[in-house]
Amino acid sequence: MRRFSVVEADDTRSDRMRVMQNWVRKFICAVKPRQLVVNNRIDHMTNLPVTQQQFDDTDRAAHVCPFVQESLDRDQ
Amino acid sequence: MLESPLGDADAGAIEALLLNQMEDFVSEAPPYDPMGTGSPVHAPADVIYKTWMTIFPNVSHERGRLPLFDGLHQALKPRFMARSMMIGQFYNGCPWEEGAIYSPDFKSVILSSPTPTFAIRYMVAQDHIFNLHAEAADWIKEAHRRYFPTDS
Repeated sequence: MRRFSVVEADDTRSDRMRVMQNWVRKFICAVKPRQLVVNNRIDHMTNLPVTQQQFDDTDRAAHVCPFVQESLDRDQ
Repeated sequence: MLESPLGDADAGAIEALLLNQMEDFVSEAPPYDPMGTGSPVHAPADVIYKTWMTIFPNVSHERGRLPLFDGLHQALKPRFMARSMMIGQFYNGCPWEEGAIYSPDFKSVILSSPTPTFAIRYMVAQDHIFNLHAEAADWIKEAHRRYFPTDS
């Protein structure tokens, strides 16, 4: 298994891999109003409901998946 | 991330690949075997971000249900849950009835990836709301209750 960042920096990665990695970064690690996480989802870091401010700030707790950005930052 | 050459006729090989990954996943850094802790659904913070994604560009699919993946997911998820791990499937149009639990309008969107993909990770406490959600498939609820009876 290769790290996300290593694959991302690989000039020989396939188009399908490039599109998939872009989807992870631009869809999964983004906020989507239709998901309605504000006041519904519990932020796993604070154990409190996700706030409108977090959503407006595109805080990772309000992302489509609240774990993925942290995972990318840790690059595991 | 891994790009697999396996395709439409390789269900058995895909299943074998993912089962092998389940074994390798626990030993790769940071190593962690959740079934040895006594708290299998509460993985420590330093390991919950470890995730493996395998994309399958040779699996033919444009949009809508992908029976090859649905069948593999249904077969494999209880086995992953028994190890306190989760396996997720992603493809364009992949349904996830229990996924967008706050927004029924969004549930056909979240798992719609551009390329058929399986992802594996450790189970976390937040998975309870998906596994035991009213709209979760019966087999997921049954698997969760079987392996985590004190959780239900």
